[in-house]
Amino acid sequence: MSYDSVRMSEQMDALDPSIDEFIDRYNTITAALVLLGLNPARQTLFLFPGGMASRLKRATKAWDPAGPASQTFKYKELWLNLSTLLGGEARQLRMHKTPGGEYRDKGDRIIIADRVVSLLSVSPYVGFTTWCSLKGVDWFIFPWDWRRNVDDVATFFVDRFLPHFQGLVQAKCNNADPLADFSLIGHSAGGLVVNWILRNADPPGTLRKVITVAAPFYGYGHQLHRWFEGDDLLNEGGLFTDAMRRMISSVPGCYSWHFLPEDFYKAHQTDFNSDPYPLPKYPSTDFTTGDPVDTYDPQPPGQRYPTKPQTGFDSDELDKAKKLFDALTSPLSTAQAAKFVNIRGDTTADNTLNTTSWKLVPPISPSPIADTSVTPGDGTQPAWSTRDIGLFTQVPGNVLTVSGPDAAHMIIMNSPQTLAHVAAVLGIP
Amino acid sequence: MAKPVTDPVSSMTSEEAFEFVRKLQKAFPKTPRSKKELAALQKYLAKYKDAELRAAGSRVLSDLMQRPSRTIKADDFPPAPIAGPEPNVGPKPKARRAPKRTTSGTKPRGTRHRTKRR
Repeated sequence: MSYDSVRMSEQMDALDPSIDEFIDRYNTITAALVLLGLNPARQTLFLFPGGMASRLKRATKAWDPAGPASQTFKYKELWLNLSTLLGGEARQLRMHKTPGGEYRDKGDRIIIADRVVSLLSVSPYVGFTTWCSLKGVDWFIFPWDWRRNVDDVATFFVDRFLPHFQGLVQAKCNNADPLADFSLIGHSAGGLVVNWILRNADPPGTLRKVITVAAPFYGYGHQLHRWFEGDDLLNEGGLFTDAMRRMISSVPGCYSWHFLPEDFYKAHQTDFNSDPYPLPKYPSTDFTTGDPVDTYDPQPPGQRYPTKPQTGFDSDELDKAKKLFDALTSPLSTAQAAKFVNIRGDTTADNTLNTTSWKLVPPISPSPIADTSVTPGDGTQPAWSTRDIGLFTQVPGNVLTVSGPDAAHMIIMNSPQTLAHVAAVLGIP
Repeated sequence: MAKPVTDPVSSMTSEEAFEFVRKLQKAFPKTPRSKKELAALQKYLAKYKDAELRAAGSRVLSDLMQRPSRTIKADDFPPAPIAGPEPNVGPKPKARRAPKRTTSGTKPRGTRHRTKRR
């Protein structure tokens, strides 16, 4: 079996305990409803965590290309605990591409997603899942490897996970079908995954709603910094800056977190300006001239991003990310638009980083990227980025805004306003 | 007297959380792996109150999840120039002032190249 086959098999096995917990919750609610003499319609809600919010575990030994088909591994948590922040451990998240284009994990030690991150007893989404349980919603958190492209994750979810999940639940819940009425909700980059499923996958027809919360449809400026600066919390005072840049550049998923392509902006400029949270000009500009610099078509050639020898930055991945952007922003059919709901956040602090300026490279250090303005948003994502511009035109009522301090990016899923919106959209009393 | 602004994400600023992490990184320059090293890490953490650790955890998580790890103030930047037509549909968001962060260490760490206000 190939690396990817073994990896996906291992990924599926890692999800089974969470499916068992879903089954336990499902049967508990069923028993309670029988006791109360109630028989309300059931619905399942799959939550896709934000980018970097899924916990990643790394195999303790390498995959063996000459090994048996049924290789199994033990795993240790890699992302995220305090050890991740120490000794440059986050370097182990690095990936490498085979000549055939397959992405493998560093040292061919398989990495899988398993549950949600927890750091110093803090974990996102606790408020959201507690609320779901109280409302009798059958919820499932689908952890995903945020280093990989969202189309890979979405395809795995629809083609492999959903049938497996459905079969296990039916077998242990008196043949109840958890997909008879189901919806998807994605936070942040998880919103890109559910967006891809809506537009490009072929999910079961019983998919009712696809909800994004604080999803960066049109990117944001911080990713540009990361190509050059790594991550302050992981760099360890500069000791591992180069290693972190290389790790980030090796991860294909990051390439689609950029600002939108300039041609898309130009084609929709009127719509961007008509929004309650407008984007009056292309957000990435040259430091000297102030002219737009397209993040997906960097000009002049070779003078914007690091070279491959410098940090591993991969122009081929940038081209692939542009195609992914096109797929994620393709026109919505009427039926798709009716199912699609975007929730965005505005903390009302007006301190979300917005536009950037870009010096020519080399040198790549100090960073050629500078933040040049702030705008309303959730503290991480500008409000102009977190809704689909086509949806806002087609079904403006399906674009909802959460305002106030609890609209902050990390906690917006737990906000009472968000929960009220989700309840209204899904008909939860 | 104005009430101090409470940040619902964490009582710790990005700068304070960064300092927490840097102290930890200096105390543990190697990734702890052995039982002895992990016990030393637990002992190190025990000098903090639970609330402090939770505040650090919340802020670090928030900053790692793609938020720039520094306090952003609205008046750090000049207003964005308007190049396109004025918005003509929908309500405009009201002009607002960013709440002042009152905790210490609100200066950017200076690790990032930034445009100065002129």
